Amino acid sequence: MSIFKFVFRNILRRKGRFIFTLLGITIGMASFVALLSMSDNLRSEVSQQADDLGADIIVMGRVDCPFIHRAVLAGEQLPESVPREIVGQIAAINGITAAIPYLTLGTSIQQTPVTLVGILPNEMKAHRGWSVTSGAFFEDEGENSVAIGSATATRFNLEIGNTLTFRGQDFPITAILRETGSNDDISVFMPLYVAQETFGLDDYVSFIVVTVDNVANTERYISAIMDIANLSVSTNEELLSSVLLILGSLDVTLQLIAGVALIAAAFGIINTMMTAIYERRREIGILRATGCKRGAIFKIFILESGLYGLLGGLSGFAVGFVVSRLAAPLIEQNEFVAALGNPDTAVAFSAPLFFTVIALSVLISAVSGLYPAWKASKLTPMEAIRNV
Amino acid sequence: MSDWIIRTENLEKTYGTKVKTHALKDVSLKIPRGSFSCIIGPSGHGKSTLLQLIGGLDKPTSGRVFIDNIDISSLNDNKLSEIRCEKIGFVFQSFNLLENLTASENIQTAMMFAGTSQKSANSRALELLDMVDLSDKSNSKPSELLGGQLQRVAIARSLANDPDILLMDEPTGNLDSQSEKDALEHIFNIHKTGKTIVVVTHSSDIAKQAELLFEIRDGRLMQPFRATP
Ligand SMILES: Nc1ncnc2c1ncn2[C@@H]1O[C@H](COP(=O)(O)OP(=O)(O)OP(=O)(O)O)[C@@H](O)[C@H]1O
Ligand SMILES: [Mg+2]
Repeated sequence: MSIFKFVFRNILRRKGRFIFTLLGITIGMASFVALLSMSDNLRSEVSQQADDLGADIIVMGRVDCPFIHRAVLAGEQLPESVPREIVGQIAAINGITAAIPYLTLGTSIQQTPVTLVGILPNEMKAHRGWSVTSGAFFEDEGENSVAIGSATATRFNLEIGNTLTFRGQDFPITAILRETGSNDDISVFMPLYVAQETFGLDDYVSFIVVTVDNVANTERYISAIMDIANLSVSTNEELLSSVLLILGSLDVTLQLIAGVALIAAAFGIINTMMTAIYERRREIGILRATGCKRGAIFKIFILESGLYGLLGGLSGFAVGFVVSRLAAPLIEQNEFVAALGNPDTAVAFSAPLFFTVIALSVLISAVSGLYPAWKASKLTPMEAIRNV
Repeated sequence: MSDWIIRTENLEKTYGTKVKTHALKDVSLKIPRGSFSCIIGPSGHGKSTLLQLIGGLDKPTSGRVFIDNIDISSLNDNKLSEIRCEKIGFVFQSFNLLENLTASENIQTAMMFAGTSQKSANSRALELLDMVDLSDKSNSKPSELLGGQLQRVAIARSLANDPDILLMDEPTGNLDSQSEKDALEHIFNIHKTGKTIVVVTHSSDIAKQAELLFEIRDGRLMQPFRATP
């Protein structure tokens, strides 16, 4: 018999207590894993969105909070709109190669949230390098039809000639776009003017993506744009870094929550170990009487609490991983993405996270076991005789 | 000079702080290697206390205990544990087996902490179980064994690290007469292999066999004690 088998036998003696203690550490570690991977995921999602836009500069109505920036880009929210004529004025600035307006609107298909994007067809097609797998791309800016992303087509089983209804108005699908790997795949596109009319938004746009001839001069272009109107103008990187900064403080908050759960789990282990040691003090005395040293008793109980950590770390990682996979899309309020199982949003297995979690869990548990194990090692052989 | 494997000098033991029990008073004795000794006396007069001090389970209030001429009353806990592990085997009246382990595993625990390899601990356990006629019970838990069998497992365990000394505190106190006979036979056989055995007992069957008989009354060793050649 090895000492590990001995410890394993002991830990399984009180099945109920074993399970509840394990649940404690599992919940602690799972919340740690889930919160961490969800914030990681949100982070990469944000970066992805920013990349997708391919913008050097983004112009939108006055927005103070970077999170609203993000929400606007994702179509979850409409900011103070940018009047359409501004687009032309920006495009006219020397050195700006394109100013492409977007009107992003949250709508739904078959009760599933989808982003509808109002666009200028020709500018967009050129800027995004789109091609069409079936049907024909918008022929004019006032066309009462929609183009859909490839994933949208698969998800809702849509074909050319089907119609989508927005605000009680039917729109035939005239084009399905080739897969791009970006958020375009899960969106629906409509000519900007048609979208503005359908949704009663006059000549407003959500934001303008600006590209420039020379990124070194970005600062100059930004001040030129600011001169035109009181707008929120930033580079893609600025926007990204300010969102990431907020996500950073979000991380701290989430980790604090997970930390509290872990502390609770640690006390669960201490409690379990103290009870186990009290119950087994006679056995400890027997071991001591047969020549087992204090250090060996200490080791037995540290191994036992460490084993809780190992098992709890494994189950906690598994639970946290599953929860974050299921919950990440919900947190982004985008069921559609969840339903697609889009690899961009699925939380990926991370080996470093796995090993960190296991190591952390074993460490916390072993540390929790220190005091009980020390108490156990103080018991004398006389315990075997006294507690008959 | 005789070879005294166990010696005590002026042993005193007082239990408790508020209410003091003076359990042993000035006990000095010598036990030769390979002998079979019994400690007898009325209940509550200090027999177990004496055995526990000799075996290093407890420390005397004053006086000294020598095992193989080592003063164990002055050893630190680690060294004392080593002595218990290597030189002394214990058998208790209440068997003191670990309930969640099999007979074989109970014997192996004693070796697990002595640094014996798993393989040899396993074969040693089987060998010892065979010696006490329990080879078929190696995988039985204590709850599946009878009193006499439990005590034989405990005897086998006490021999695990091949100690020179076996200390037994009323080993047959919880046994019926047939089981007692079986256990005694094993104990006598073990004595024949050269072990020094000290038994605390109320049983006249055991006392009859003793080469040395120590009588404890009211914490004192009665003089003269009988020494049978
Ligand atoms: N751990 C202890 N704490 C306090 N008093 C104790 C302790 N152990 C023994 N005593 C007391 O010391 C005295 C001697 O006890 P001991 O167990 O040595 O007697 P014994 O001769 O073995 O008796 P028995 O035949 O009943 O086993 C008794 O009065 C007992 O109550
Ligand atoms: Mg006694």
